[in-house]
Amino acid sequence: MPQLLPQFYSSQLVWLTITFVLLFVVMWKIALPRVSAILTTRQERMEQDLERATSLKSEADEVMDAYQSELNASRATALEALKAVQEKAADEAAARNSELEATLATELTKAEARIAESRESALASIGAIATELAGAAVEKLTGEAASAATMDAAVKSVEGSQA
Amino acid sequence: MASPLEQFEIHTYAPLKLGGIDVSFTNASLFMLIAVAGVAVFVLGGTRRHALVPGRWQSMVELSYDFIAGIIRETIGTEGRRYFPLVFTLFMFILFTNMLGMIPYSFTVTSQIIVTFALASLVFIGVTILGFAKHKMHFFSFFVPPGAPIAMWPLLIPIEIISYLSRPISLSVRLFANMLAGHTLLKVIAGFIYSLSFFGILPLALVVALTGLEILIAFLQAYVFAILTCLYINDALHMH
Repeated sequence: MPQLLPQFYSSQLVWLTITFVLLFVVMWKIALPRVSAILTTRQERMEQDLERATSLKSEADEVMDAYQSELNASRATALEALKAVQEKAADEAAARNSELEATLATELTKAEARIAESRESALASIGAIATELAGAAVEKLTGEAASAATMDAAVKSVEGSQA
Repeated sequence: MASPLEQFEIHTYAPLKLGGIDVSFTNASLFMLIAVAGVAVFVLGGTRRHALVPGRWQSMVELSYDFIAGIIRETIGTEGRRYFPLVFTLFMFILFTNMLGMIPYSFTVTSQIIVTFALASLVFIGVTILGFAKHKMHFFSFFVPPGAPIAMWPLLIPIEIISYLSRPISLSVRLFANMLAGHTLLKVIAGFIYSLSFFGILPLALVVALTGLEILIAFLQAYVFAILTCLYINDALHMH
């Protein structure tokens, strides 16, 4: 078996030592620190990113809260303003209504007064016309004119019975 | 036809002598250099970009890093981090020499008992020094099984000492024998392909299947070597 020939042992041992020590030093001093640096960097980066995401989320939540409270406040203000405007408008409308009512009432009384006046005057003139008409009728029927005083009295008695 | 063991022969490319010791550059030396260069290119090349999001190559490097880191974490614990470079180098060196051996006409460095024994001795001597450095003379109590009655000590202590001393042998022979047997078997069955002419298709299929198995074994033996190294380090640190 070629493995059991001792004349080749020394050279294999020497070359194994050289190559193995060389590889060990390269791995120990250069390669493995590099790999571990890559892995650590990645780990740190992931942690950083997660941290940043959390802080950004809380910031966004804060902004959202602020926005909500602002919105609520604005809504309340708007409602208040609307109510005030409505009240004012209602007041104004009521005032104008009452004013109009007052005007209408005075107009009504004036009109009523005018109607009453004209009715009065019409009624007054009725007496004279009736007297005249009665005088003319009496003259036609009897052929002689009745005295004015008698006519008035007759008309007045009729008016009195009718009223 | 060539002997199935011919593939394990050492060929000297450049005879060298250093202080009376033969340090000739051989095919074994060449494949050690190729393996070391392969590991260095694999790890350094994969991490050359320091990519935050790894590509395929960098993923493989990170995977092997995490693989060994996981073995150490599970067997030794957090204090095992100090031994990470050594275990990683052992694993990668054995894995690459095993895998290189799977290439036809190449040379399998780990099929040489002297190489596997040297690696196992490195682990054995290192672990023993570590044990004595950590526990001083108390490390001898490692050979006394906990809870054993004193009457049994004369029997148990020699057994424990023998089992401890046989560690480098089992560690080196396991790797060596796996490589030797696998490659010899492949060669023997491959020899039948030629001699059976048409029916050589059957051993050919077998060789294809066995090559897959050998690739698995090449990985598995590197893994076993690494995990046993971790277990031995753990024994030295924590005793039983």
